[in-house]
Amino acid sequence: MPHCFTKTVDSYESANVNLTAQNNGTATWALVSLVAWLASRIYLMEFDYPKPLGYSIALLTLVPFLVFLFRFFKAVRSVDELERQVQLEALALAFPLTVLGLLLLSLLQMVAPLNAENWSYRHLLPMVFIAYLFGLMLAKRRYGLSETAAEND
Amino acid sequence: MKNSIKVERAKKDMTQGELAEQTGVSRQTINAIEAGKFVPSTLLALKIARVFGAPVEAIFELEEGD
Repeated sequence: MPHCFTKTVDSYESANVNLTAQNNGTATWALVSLVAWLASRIYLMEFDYPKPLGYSIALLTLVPFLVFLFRFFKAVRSVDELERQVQLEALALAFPLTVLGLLLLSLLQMVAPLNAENWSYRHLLPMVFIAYLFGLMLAKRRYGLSETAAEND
Repeated sequence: MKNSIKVERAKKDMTQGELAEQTGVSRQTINAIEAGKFVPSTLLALKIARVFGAPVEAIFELEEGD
């Protein structure tokens, strides 16, 4: 194999490895954000604490999420145009569905007092991720990215 | 929009992976374009045309309704 070709393939594979590592980093920070949020929630619900500490914990929980956001944007900007389109379509489904959920909840709260423990704005949070994953699945299926078929050469 | 990427690849005995590598996208992207599921950007269409040494209109063609 010619050296120039080997070099190009190597650099492409290296770029792919970097991209995978970057995506893994994004997933790790998403997990860290979730764990931080759950830990803060449990602490704020179960323990007694002075108010300044409570505010600090609530605000500090945002830090890993901000790191996740930064890495997510960086990862989306580094992928190719098809993957970017897939991400856009997933978010285009998740965002309006979330707004729809918020609108419905705000109207229902006028009709009947909703118990915060059973149904509140924080219960919409998992729905955002579910809507995003659903959108991702639809978009990937649309562009044939979910197919694991061998290379169609 | 239809395209003749598959024919051009066959002429050059080139795999989707090789075309993807030369245009800086993933093999899945080339597969989606080739299957007509995804319309590439102008930049990517020009890169693909350059790989085949042909004008972009020779590779990509508008269909009725486009």
